[in-house]
Amino acid sequence: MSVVGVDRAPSASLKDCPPGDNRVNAMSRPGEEFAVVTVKFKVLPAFQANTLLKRPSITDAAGKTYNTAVSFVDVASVPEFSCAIPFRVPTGTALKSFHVDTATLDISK
Amino acid sequence: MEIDRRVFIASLGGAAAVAAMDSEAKADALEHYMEEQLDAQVAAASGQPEKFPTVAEIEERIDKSNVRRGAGSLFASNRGNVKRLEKMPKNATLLDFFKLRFEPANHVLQSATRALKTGMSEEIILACLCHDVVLNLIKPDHGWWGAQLFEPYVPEKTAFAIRYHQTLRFYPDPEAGYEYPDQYYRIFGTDYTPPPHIEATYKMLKNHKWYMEPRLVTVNDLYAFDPNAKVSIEPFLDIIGRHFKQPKDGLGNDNSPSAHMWRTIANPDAPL
Repeated sequence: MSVVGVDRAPSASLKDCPPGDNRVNAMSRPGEEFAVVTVKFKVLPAFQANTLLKRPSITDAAGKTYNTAVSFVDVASVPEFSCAIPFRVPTGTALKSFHVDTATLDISK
Repeated sequence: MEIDRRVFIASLGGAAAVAAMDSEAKADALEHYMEEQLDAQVAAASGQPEKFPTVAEIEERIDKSNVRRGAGSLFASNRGNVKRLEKMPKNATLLDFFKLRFEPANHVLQSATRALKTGMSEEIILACLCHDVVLNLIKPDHGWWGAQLFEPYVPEKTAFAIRYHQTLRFYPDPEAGYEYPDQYYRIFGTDYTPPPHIEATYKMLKNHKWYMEPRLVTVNDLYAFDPNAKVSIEPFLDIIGRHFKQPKDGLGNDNSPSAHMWRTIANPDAPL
């Protein structure tokens, strides 16, 4: 798992991870934006197909945690995939880390 | 303009729905679809975000249609004529209704599939499977109508989730994974505010011990608009068997408080 980048946008496509073709977008409110974290995943052979992964989260520089609407669904269905995972945050929030289960990745740069 | 045949057919409700349309209806549908696609492509090419209507702009459309927006899908078609319906069997089951009246039911099947794959409870999976099928009968207040339709046959939590998902969909809850969707800007208008009864219901739900039941229906709701998803009722047969109290005389014939609603869905061509 590796973070490709973080984009900021007023709206964000809502697709689960790995992504399908869902047509719904999330809309932010005044004073908020979506921090969209793009993450690449590679599924190793040891990964159990029926494993339920918790939804990812991010932490900002002040230590506050933000959740996403995106869930992991059918993770073992493709060996490699990339997901754009939106988090609703106050505009301009400085981010620190991205979390999936016990794994933590740096997104401060 | 290139048309993705699969997506186009899915947008009409699937191959069975297309097969039931006459040539004129198919031509109208194709033209309508191409107009929508063109608008979307032009907007994307110009780099401009989609312009959503206001409440007033949506209200202006009322007297430009021969069907009210609240008419159930069985009673109106926005793409050609309504289709001839197959007769329901004598002792109709929920599965018969899914096959003969609710099909293709893609949205509710996708929603329930996601609930199943993300490990939600069977009451919630059943709620997701049933949450919008009443739209075939009527659209306004569909949470309340839908709960009333299913209440005699499903667990209390399932009926609660169906009734109140209608309210919670207007209120984002990022903690729970629910965002305000752009489709509500399209359907209700950018400046829409929920009416007082919805506000009051939301206040009640915020402090209710079952808040998460309808909330989880809204969470799955958002992710169930994929025109290419492959779904079927098969994975839910056991859950229906365990939780849906199928009346032996058939839905509509059991004298339950909602039997008349099932009969109306079974016979939408009845004149009175």
